[in-house]
Amino acid sequence: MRFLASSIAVLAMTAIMPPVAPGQGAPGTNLSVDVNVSSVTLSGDTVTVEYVLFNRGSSAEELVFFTVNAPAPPISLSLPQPSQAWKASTLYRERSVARWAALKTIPPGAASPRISFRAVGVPAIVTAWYRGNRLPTLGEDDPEVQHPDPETPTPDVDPLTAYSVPTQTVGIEPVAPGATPASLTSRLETLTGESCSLGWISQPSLCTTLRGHLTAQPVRLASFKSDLDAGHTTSGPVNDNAYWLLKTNADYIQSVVSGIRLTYICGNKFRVRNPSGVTVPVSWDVYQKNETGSLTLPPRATGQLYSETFFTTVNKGTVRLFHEGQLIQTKANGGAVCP
Amino acid sequence: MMNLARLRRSGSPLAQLAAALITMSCSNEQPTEPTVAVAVEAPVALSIVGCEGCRRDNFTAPGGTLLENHVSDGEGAPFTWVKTFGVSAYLDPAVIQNNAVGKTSSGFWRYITNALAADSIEIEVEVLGDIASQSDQYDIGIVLRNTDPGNGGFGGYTVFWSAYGDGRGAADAFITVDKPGANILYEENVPVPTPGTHTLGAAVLESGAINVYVDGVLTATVVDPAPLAPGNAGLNFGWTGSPPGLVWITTFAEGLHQVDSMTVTLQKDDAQLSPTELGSSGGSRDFNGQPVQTQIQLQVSVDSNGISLPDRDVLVSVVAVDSAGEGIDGPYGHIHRGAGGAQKPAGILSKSIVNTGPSKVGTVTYTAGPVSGPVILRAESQGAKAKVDTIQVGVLGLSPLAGRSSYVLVGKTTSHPNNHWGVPVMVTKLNSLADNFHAAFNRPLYYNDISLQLGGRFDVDQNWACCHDEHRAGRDLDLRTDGDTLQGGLTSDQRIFVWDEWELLGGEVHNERVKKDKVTPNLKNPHYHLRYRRSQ
Repeated sequence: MRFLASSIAVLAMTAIMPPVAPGQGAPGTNLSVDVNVSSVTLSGDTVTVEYVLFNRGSSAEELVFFTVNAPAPPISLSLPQPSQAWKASTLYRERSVARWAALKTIPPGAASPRISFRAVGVPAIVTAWYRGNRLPTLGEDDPEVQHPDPETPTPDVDPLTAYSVPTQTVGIEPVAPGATPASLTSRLETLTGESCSLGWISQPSLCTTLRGHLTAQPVRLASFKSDLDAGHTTSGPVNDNAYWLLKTNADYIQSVVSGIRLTYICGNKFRVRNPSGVTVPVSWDVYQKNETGSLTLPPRATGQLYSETFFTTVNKGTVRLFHEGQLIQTKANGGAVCP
Repeated sequence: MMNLARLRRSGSPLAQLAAALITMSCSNEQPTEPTVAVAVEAPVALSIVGCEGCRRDNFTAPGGTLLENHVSDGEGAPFTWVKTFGVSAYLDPAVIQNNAVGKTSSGFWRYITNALAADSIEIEVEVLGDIASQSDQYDIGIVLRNTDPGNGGFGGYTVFWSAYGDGRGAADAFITVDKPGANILYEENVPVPTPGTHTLGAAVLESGAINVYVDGVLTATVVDPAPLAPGNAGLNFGWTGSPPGLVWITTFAEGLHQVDSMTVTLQKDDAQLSPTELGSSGGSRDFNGQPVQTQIQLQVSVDSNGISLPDRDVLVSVVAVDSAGEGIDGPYGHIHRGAGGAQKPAGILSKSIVNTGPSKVGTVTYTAGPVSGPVILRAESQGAKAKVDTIQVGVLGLSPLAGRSSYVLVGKTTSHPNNHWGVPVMVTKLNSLADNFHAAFNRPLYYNDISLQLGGRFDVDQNWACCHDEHRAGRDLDLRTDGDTLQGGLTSDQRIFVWDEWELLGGEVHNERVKKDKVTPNLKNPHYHLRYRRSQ
């Protein structure tokens, strides 16, 4: 339902206007394309971003290439049907990207099917480039044109930047090393501000409200998401890009904490598992025993499902686990004898 | 005095005779029989070093022996002397005294050998006193290529070493080169010979030039545009003055100077030379770690007997080898001559004449032309053997596209039969492009021109000029895009596939299916131009 509503709105929405008027710029740049994020989904630490591209009717060129900068290397790219009409790549001149080539070009006034890519990381604002179906021409074998000085070096032109229209969209970047829920929340606050600056959230008061949720102590992620969702309507102030970007990041932060598992082992020994890629500082106490402690849960290592941290209490009793003062887990002491 | 000297050095036998008569008249000398002048200290003959296998005469004979009665006593086959001038009563004969030949009183004589002689002669001369101290004049001469002993004996070249004193401490000396029937070929001052042993040498070079050596040093090079034929050698002696004579000839030797001993030497940098105008084609790269450049420095010198000569003009020229690939230009891939008579560019010399100057070495810069190939460098100097060298101009390190089922090589012509040479990374990328395309569409790509095997301007029209602007350094390829799909024509989605793939591989694609206005179809040769400008 969300996609149906947004796809109609997005097709009329400007992501970033092209810098040149159609037909007058460098080859490949004479088009205006709405880059719409139709969904972002989170599955564990993997994110999938889905796009729909609309080549505006005013464009002078057919749409051929769409390239998204991918700080987090893509795991997979979707190929719309028929797959023979599409070509996808994850590297462009050593640059990690998600790139689609529409072998059957998308003419002005038409939209692309949904295209998506998946990577391990969190949603971020990244640069993307779209490019029309026109190449530069040398005329080198044409005796009727004036030929350039053959001594003048031809530079190693990067066609992606030289012959494409850049824009900003939602992509995926790796979780920063040493990230914590707090740093991720701070990052989310920054992304919210950038979304407002980009016009993805058009109501300034909502921007203030959303950022206020993230700077409050304790952080009000649920309220943040609720207000974000409320603004994401057909004519609401939150567009698809902002909505999917911010909502998914909030979901991710919540999942980090909610994924932590406290387990009783034996004696007074307990174990905490952290399945996320984020370092989580937690504290614990033994209920009504006036005994407390703190732990730093490391992120899971590559190839592992979780990290494990053990601790032993002095007193026998129920252990409570807190994150930033919020109770997140309790576990009773089972009284088992350690082998 | 000087007028008399000039008259004598005019070279004409009659003039010499007249000068002799005038001298005799002025000095009122009377002819005398050959005698040993007591006051004369005849020199001790010294051997001239380095005369091996040549004929020589040390004039070892009893005192008073007339030269015409003397048989040579040095190395080589014996010979005798034929008197050609000095027959009058006024002219003393040549007299041998103390193993030297000269005169005991004022007068002139001229002798030639009785056999064909070498083209180089050196005589050793002993100067017994200060020339300036006496009011005398001496004309010591070497005769070369005398073929006309009967015509007054003045045939051939005569190289005079003349010295004049005024008896009051002043003196003058000249070197002149005379030729019968011609003006004096050469006349320049030289230092007045000091007392002691000196040598005067002369050689006719292969080029026709005449080298003159004083005391072993090349003093003059005279070019005779109409060289005389080989002939006999000889001696000339003149003395006007009062006894005792101060100058005697102690040795006569042939072949002391190699007739081609003066040569131009040419040294060039050891750098690999690439053609110019490679910039737009990706430029030249180091080859095997050695820098590649488009210019080299040439050092030229003119050596005579191993001695570099100062202040010599050297004419330097360069010509591109253009044998339609049948000669040493074959490996460069231009199997044609310039269409319409076009001249193959040979490159540029910073100057065509370079002087060796006081440093005895001249420097000239050669800048390669835009077309790869060998060029012949020639350096020549008057009277010296020219030096010829070859400069190889080309882009080294190119590799051919080998046979592969994923592409078809096209564009080969009889004029340019090897048109698919590229830098290794280009070859690798083109292999990948074709393989990936073949995997997607199960058909090959048609590859047209990359570069010739040694790069440089790729003149499609065989005129050394037109029309590939690029394709010079193995970094560009023309890909067939249009026409029958069985002959390389591509569908629109295949063209986009190639476009995308080539960019992913690091290259750039240019659409030459249209003209520069990007609208008008290129009906002549529609194609994609694939560039690769990266180092890897």
